[in-house]
Amino acid sequence: MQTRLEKVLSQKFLLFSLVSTGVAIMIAEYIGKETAIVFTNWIFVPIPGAMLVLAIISAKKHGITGDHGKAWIAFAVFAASWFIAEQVWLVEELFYHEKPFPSGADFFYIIGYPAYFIFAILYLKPFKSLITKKLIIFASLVAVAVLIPSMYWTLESSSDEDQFSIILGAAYPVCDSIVLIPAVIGMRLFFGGQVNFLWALMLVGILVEVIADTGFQYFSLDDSMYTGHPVDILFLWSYIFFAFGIHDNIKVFNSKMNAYKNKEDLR
Amino acid sequence: MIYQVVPNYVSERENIMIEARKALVIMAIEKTLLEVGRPTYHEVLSKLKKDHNCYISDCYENPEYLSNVLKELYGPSRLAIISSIQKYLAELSTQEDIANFIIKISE
Repeated sequence: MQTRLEKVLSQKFLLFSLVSTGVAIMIAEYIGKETAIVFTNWIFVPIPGAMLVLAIISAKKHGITGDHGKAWIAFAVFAASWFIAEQVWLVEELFYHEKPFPSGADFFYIIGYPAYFIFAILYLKPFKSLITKKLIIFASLVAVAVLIPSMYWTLESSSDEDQFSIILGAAYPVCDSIVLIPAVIGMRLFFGGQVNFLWALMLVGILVEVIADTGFQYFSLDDSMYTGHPVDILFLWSYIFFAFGIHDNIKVFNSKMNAYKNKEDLR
Repeated sequence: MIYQVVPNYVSERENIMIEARKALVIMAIEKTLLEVGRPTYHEVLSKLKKDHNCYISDCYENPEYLSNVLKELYGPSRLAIISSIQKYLAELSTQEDIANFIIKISE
């Protein structure tokens, strides 16, 4: 079981990861736009990769048994989908020298959302008797409140971007807001429990993702968005929050089955 | 002689019934925890041993141990898991020991 000291240290490591990622991107940005593009594209390999590895470990640990087992499989699909999306983005930009938005990467980003939503629904399923209409309405209001500024900026801006790119860019904050609903419910349900840290980080991760997607859309519309833009720090932070949440959950449920091999122990 | 056997037989039968109900309670707990997930089941076993030096079978007499462990893991949402256990035991809830178990675990 995780001790209090380990919990504090894990949060220090989380803070260190957030700060070092931000500083690294800012240094690359300071050196020059080209450096920022190359560095940021490559940093999207290990960070989403770490989230994918942790998601696979968690899915393997849970197996297919129970709602949470199925939930973690769905999360692994989400993590794999977004990891592939990041790599498609990298290949499009660094190897084919194509504009990565819109591109095949968007297909993988978009299919990741239903997988994440399924994860959240399955994780919360054993606790459905406590999910009241009032709680769903509250979570939906939070999601709408987060979505409104994003939609406002998107609809108010005029741009040379084609209609498809504008709609696609606007779809991300909408998807983020939808997945925000179960995250708010999860945070409220597990308040005070050990699994709350996972849901707190999921919630923060999605909120950061909403801000990042809104920023991406905002700067894309005035054509000032590029890989390595400070907005990318938020995308990376979102992965870091998710990864630390999964890591904490793995540590919470760390008991080994072999401790109970002796049948007499179970009596 | 016959007079003495009858009460012994009744008592033994009652003991068997208590053991059977205890087994059903354990099954209800295990089934509910496994429905949540295998690691949840193992973590609950581990915490029961570590915090209360007991096993799931001891939760029949001490339901509050299970309640405490679930609270530590899931906070107030443990009530949903407890409610699932209660559903499995609904048909037996007229039995005094099961009724006591349900009352204690819900506290």
